[in-house]
Amino acid sequence: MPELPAAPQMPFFSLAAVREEAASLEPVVRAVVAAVLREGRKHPDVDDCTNETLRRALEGAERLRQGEPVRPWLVGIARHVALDSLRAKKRRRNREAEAPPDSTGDVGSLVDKIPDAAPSAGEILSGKQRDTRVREAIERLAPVMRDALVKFHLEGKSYVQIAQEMNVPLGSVATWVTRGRKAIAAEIGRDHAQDHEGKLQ
Amino acid sequence: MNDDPKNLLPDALVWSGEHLSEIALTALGDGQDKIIPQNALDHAASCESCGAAMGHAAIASMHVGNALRAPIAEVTIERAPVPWLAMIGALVLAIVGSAPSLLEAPRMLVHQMPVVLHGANALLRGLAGGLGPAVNFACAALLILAGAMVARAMPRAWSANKF
Ligand SMILES: [Zn+2]
Repeated sequence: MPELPAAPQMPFFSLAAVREEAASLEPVVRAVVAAVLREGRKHPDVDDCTNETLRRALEGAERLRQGEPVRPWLVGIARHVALDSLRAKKRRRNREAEAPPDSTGDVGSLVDKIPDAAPSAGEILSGKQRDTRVREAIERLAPVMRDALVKFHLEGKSYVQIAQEMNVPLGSVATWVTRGRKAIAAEIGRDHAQDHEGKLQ
Repeated sequence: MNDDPKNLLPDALVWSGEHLSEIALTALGDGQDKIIPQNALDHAASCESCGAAMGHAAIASMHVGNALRAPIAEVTIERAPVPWLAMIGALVLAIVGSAPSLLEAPRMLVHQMPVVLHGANALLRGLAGGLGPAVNFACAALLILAGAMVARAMPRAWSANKF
C-alpha cells in the first residue's frame, strides 16, 4: 500500500490575504449554507448564516494555521454555522412542543434529526475515525485518482496544473477527482450518511 | 474566466441534461471555476438544484482534504505508572505481618516431620507395588493438596490454633 505524502508547509502567511480570500468566497459559503439548510440561496436564514460565517472567518483569520488552505477552512465554518442554526431551530421547536398544542409551529422533520448539542468528545473521535477511513479509502484508489487528489489537496495545485504535470487532458483530471471522491464516499457511506446534512430527511 | 479552450472542460463533461454534470459540480466545489464555461457558471448561479449540489461537493472536498492533511493518528496506549511505593509498602507490611509465623516455622516443621516421612515412605512403597496403589496415592496427594489450599485460605485460624 503506497504511503500518502505529508502536507507541505507554506512559506508565508498573510492575514490580510486570508481575509481577502475569505470575502471572495462568499458564493461558495452561500451554497454550502443553502445546501445544509435545504433552502434557496436567497433565503433570509441563508443570508444570516452566510454573514455570520464571513464575520467569524474575518475575526478568526489569525487562528488559521500556517499553510492551511482558506477555502476548506471557510467551508467548515459555514457548515458549522448552518448546523448551529438548524439546532437552534430544533430547540425552539422543542420548547414550542412543550407549550399548549395550538401554539406549536410547523418546522420540518429535517430539524428533528439534527443533534441537539455542541460537538462532543465522541463526535470529535468519530471525526478522527472518519479521517482515518478516508485516508484508507484514498490509499485503495486507482493510482491516477489518488495522485490527482493528493496533488489537489496536499500540493494545492489546480486541475489545469495537475493535467499539465500528469500530461493528460483536463477532463481526465476532473473525472478522476470526481470518481475518486465518489469511491471514498461509497466506502465511508455509513459515516457519510450520518454526517450528510442535506440527506437527513 | 479562462479564454484558452484547452483549459476549459468540454461541454460533454459539463452538462448532464439541463443541469450541470457531477464532474462540473465537483470542479465548482473545488473552486475550479476557471475551467467551467461561462454559460455553465451562469446556470450554477441561478439554478437552486445545482447550487445545493455544489454546496455538497464543497463539503465533500473539505472532508477529503481535511483527512489528507490531518496528522496520522498514532495509537498510544496510556500505561499507568508502576505503583512502586505502594508495592514496597505492601511487601514490608507482609513481612512484618508474617514474622510471628516465620518464627514458628522450624517448630512446626519438626512437629510435622514424622507425618511427611511416613507419607513419603507409603508413596514409594505404593509406587513400587504397581499402578493400582499409585492411583490411591495420587488421590491421597490430591487430598493433601486440597488440605494445604484450605489451610492457606484460613491463615489466621491456623495461626490461632498453633497446633
Ligand atoms: Zn441546474
